[in-house]
Amino acid sequence: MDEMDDNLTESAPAAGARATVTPAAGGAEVVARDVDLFYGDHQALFDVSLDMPANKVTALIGPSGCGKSTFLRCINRMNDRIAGCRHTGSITLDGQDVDTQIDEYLLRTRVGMVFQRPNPFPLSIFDNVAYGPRRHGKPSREALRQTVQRCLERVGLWDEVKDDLKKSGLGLSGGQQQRLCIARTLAVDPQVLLMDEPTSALDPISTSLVEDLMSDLASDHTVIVVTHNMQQATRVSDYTAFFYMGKLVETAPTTELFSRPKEKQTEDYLTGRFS
Amino acid sequence: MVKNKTRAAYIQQIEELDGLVSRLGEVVVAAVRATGHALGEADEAAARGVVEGRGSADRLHRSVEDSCMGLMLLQQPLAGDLRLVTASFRMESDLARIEEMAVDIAQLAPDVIGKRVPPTITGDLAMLSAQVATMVESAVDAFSRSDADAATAVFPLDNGVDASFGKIRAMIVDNLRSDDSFADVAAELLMIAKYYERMGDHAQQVADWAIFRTTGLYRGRPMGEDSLDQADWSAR
Ligand SMILES: Nc1ncnc2c1ncn2[C@@H]1O[C@H](COP(=O)(O)OP(=O)(O)OP(=O)(O)O)[C@@H](O)[C@H]1O
Ligand SMILES: [Mg+2]
Repeated sequence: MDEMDDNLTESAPAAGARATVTPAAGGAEVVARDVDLFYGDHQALFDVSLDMPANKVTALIGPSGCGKSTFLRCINRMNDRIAGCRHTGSITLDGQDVDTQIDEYLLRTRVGMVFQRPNPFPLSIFDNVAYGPRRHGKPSREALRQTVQRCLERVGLWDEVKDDLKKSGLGLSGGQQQRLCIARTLAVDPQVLLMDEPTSALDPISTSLVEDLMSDLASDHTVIVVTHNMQQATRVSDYTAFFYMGKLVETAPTTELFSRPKEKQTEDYLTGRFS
Repeated sequence: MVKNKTRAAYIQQIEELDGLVSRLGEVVVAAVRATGHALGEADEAAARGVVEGRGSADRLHRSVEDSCMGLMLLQQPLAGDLRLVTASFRMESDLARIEEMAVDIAQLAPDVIGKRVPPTITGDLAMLSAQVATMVESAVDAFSRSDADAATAVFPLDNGVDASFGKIRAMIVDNLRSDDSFADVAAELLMIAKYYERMGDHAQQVADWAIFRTTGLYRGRPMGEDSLDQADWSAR
């Protein structure tokens, strides 16, 4: 599946949906209950139940292929577009079932996604951020200008790009592109931000800017981040969930999970005892 | 089990640290025991042995420090490994204090040996040193075996040490009153007794690190918790 496509869909809810969007007052609590997920007859998630508290950063960790991205994609229903993918159990956003009680397009405005590789649209910096609001409403020029400025300021990019808003987003550095993508996601006022290894393609300075951003955004968003970088998980997250072979092995406050995990599998993973 | 070379080397470093700490514990315990022997048996050679053994103990102390700092810098250990490294780093300094005091006692020993000291006092000092050595040994052993119960059992032993110290001090005071010439050695004897008493306190700290290494709790407090959350935690 093309990431660009995912992101267009994610940021491009149907026109008209705006009427039902109330600006987010803050993050929504995300709760997964008894989630089993299959790709065809391959089971990728086994009975996963996890609470991801509002306005906190939850990190998902675990070895490659353990189902972190699969789980993340359940939250914004991106798996719906994978043929043969189905799941049982439920995912709720502030108590509303994402699969049955929230319109898919509305869901995409409430749940934003940031990918591993920054993927700005081949548009100007301004139009990248304005994309979502334009697609689901008819904001005035002034409203749009304000939204773009507010979102670029929030990601710390405004001062760097304010004189170059007409230039292509693709001309920015990798780290700037990633922050642009986050600004684009913020422009539709999501409550939940899903981030799948958002810094793994970035240098250390850009990484720390994005990490700062995660902590900052958690003041009024629920942030769920997949990371292979343990230090990143300890730096930014409040809670950490460890997945192994499709199962949620253990979840705890981050300081607790990294200092005194209860499960041997967690201990073995954190200390590199896995073969 | 671990095939990856870098990880295998890391795990070996962790195991080496564990071994170094045990070895250091043994050396310190032996030094404490030797001071007791020197005092109890008037064995100056034993006291010299403690002073001369300082070099090799120093090297062990430095190895533990280097190993801890190297692991923290280069490996950023987590979970049980993180607890081992941080606890070793702190425990090493308690063992170093104990070791220094053993050397101080060994240096004072010749001033006491050969002087007219009532055998009840030297006998009790030897006994005190044995009590302290047992405390240190049990604490280090609890650390090596990651045994929180064994570590907890170390704390009450300090009452015995405090009692012995009180008794020795009283005897020194009594002797001072009855015998003017005793003033020559009274100060040294009191210092020696006090060193042992303080070693007992450090042995308790070692027990604290053994508990931390095992459970992640230092005096009931979890690692990385904000001190502001303390009330929260104790309320749980
Ligand atoms: N579109 C798909 N079709 C079929 N199987 C898939 C698909 N996506 C993932 N899987 C399988 O589901 C399992 C979990 O994959 P997933 O991508 O969620 O893991 P991950 O934890 O994100 O791994 P990584 O850390 O490598 O990104 C794997 O066995 C994978 O092969
Ligand atoms: Mg993935």
